[in-house]
Amino acid sequence: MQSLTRLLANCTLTLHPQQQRVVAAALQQQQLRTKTKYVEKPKPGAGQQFRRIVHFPEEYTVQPLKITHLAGRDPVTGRMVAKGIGGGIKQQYRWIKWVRDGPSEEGATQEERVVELLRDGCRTAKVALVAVGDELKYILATENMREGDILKTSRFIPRIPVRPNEGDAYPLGALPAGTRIHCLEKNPGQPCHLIHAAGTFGTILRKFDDKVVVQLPSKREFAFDRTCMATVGRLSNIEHNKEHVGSAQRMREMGNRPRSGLWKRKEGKHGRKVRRLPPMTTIAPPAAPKEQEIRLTLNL
Amino acid sequence: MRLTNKLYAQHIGWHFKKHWQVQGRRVPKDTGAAAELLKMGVQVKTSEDVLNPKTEPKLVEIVGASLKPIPEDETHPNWHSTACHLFGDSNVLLGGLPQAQVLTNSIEINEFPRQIDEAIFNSQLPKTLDRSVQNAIFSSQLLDAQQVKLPKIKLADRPAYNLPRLYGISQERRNRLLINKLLFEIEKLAGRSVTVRRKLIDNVTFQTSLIKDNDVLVFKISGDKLISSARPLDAIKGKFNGDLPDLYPMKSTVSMPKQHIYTENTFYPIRKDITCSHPHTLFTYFDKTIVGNVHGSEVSKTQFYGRSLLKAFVVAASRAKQLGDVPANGVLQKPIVVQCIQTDGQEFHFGVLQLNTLNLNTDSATKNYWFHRPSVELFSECSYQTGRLYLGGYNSEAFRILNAFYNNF
Repeated sequence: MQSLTRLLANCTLTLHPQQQRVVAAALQQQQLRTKTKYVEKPKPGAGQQFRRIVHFPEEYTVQPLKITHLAGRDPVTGRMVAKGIGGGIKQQYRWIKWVRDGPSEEGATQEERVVELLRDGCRTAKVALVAVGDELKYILATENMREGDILKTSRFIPRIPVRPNEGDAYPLGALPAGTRIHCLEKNPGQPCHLIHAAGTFGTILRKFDDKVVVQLPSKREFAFDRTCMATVGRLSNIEHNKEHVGSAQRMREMGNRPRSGLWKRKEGKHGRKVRRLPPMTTIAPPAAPKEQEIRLTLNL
Repeated sequence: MRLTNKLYAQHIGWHFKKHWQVQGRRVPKDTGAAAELLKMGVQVKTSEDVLNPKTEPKLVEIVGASLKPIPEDETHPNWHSTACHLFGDSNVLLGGLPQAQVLTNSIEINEFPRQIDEAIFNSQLPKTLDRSVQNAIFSSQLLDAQQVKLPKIKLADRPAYNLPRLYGISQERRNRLLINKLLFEIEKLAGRSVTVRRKLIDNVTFQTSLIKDNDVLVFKISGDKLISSARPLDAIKGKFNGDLPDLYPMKSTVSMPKQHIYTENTFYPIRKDITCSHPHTLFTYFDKTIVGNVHGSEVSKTQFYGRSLLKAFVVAASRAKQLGDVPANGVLQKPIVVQCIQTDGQEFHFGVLQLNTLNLNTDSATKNYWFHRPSVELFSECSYQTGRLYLGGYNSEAFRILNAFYNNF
């Protein structure tokens, strides 16, 4: 055994120049494996969705739009961000016109007719096709909306609150306390509308100064500006939260992958917590746009 | 054995890299230096402009085999600053028949003209005819040798289910064969004295443009079969009154796509100096895979009826413009009467339009007349049952009306 060790120690490995090059290349590749590319991924839950991209055209249209499934990947980097998304039936997207614009003079209202109520595969509430003049648009349908209904829209805030019908859109200040609302503008002119899900609604509780307090579906109270537009009524498809998925296959049809199994309803950080609701919050004005930053390209 | 290098977390280089990921992003603060330099008359450039000056790629005109497509923007030769509302073959009006009535300034009369009614009532068809019509249905719906891939069928309640793809006779061919065979039967009955005064043309196009309440309307349709006659159809006798439906808050142009690129010329497929150039009856097919709403919904019954009216209107309007005797107020000296038949191979909708005026404005006192009845089903089911041909719910009414329409003059 000893002689064998000695023999191997004295043995020198002789390689041809060509073989040497191959070994050098292999070593270099091994070195490169440690030099990783730093990829910045967005965090899930920050308002961006990783389920699908909708191919919006430049102009508003009521044509059903084509979508591309993302399966939980960030479209910029292509890296996985959200788990449990993938597959599902390809649906068509109907572009909702969130802003309900109307005249701001006293007594003047814009009247629109509900033409058709439709099911949209990309959202839970039903969608209503609405016609006014030679324009067509989609809005979210309310619980009792029917084809042929006339909807009113106005931006004027009268001294005495209006008596609204379902589907009408008014500023918060024009609506009486206790009204159920949805599609609520977060800040005047901000393209962010709250309360979209099937069967949900917000309730106008009280008014103070130029603010109106609304209880959102989460039961939390927020004070909005009185000029924020809101649509009256509860959203359609009220049985949605009582519907059972029914089968694992149905879950896959909806585009959801099997769950990790790590969530425990009654244990640890997932467990039940009974806490008081936070006090009423005033909605902050929209954040100023982020300043353009420079990426310095020192190759470290 | 670990092939990759170990991570030395305490390695200073690693720390520099991590730190640089944060510090390598900076928002430049305006120090006022640029403004100061500009005041002194020094030109200020960004480093990007100096290091990577932008160079426009030189365009080389290559003469190739294919012509360059004309861009669909303001430079297009047919670009108009005011958009038109287009009615074509593949779209229907959202408001259906009421919208079509307002658009074409036509009042609806829920019966046929008296002479057609009498012709239907008095027609004495031979007893063997039903057999011939049924054979025509069989040979067009089942016995033709064409086998093409039929459109995909999706079940609304089971969207994930892929049904086996069916092969069979295409919808367009079924319609064409059925109409040809029915017309053949009618021509046999009518005899040579009538048929010499009729001519049949397949796949004809019509185009016209009109102005309604400051909106430009362009109609561009195709008729699947046109019967032209040696004599124009006589104006319908009688006085008809009625009001146009109220579409509020919709306008009559709702759901008609807007386009900036269009031509305002009129096209009628037959020259007016040809003997058989008068429009008599237009056949138009309805295929739900081609014709649909803008928003993707199924076509409703009233939209189906509205399509017949518009097709008849375009034929009559393009003929009136071709004849060229339209006065300034739009009221025609001699009304033009056109019959229209729309079918999906099973259901037949018959209508007669009398075009009195081309003035479509809301203040127009003269109205056009649209005579029609609800659509009639020629049959309800045509299939193989236990290996034999089966025809269910056959109704000879459709053939009788078709016969009366053909023989009308």
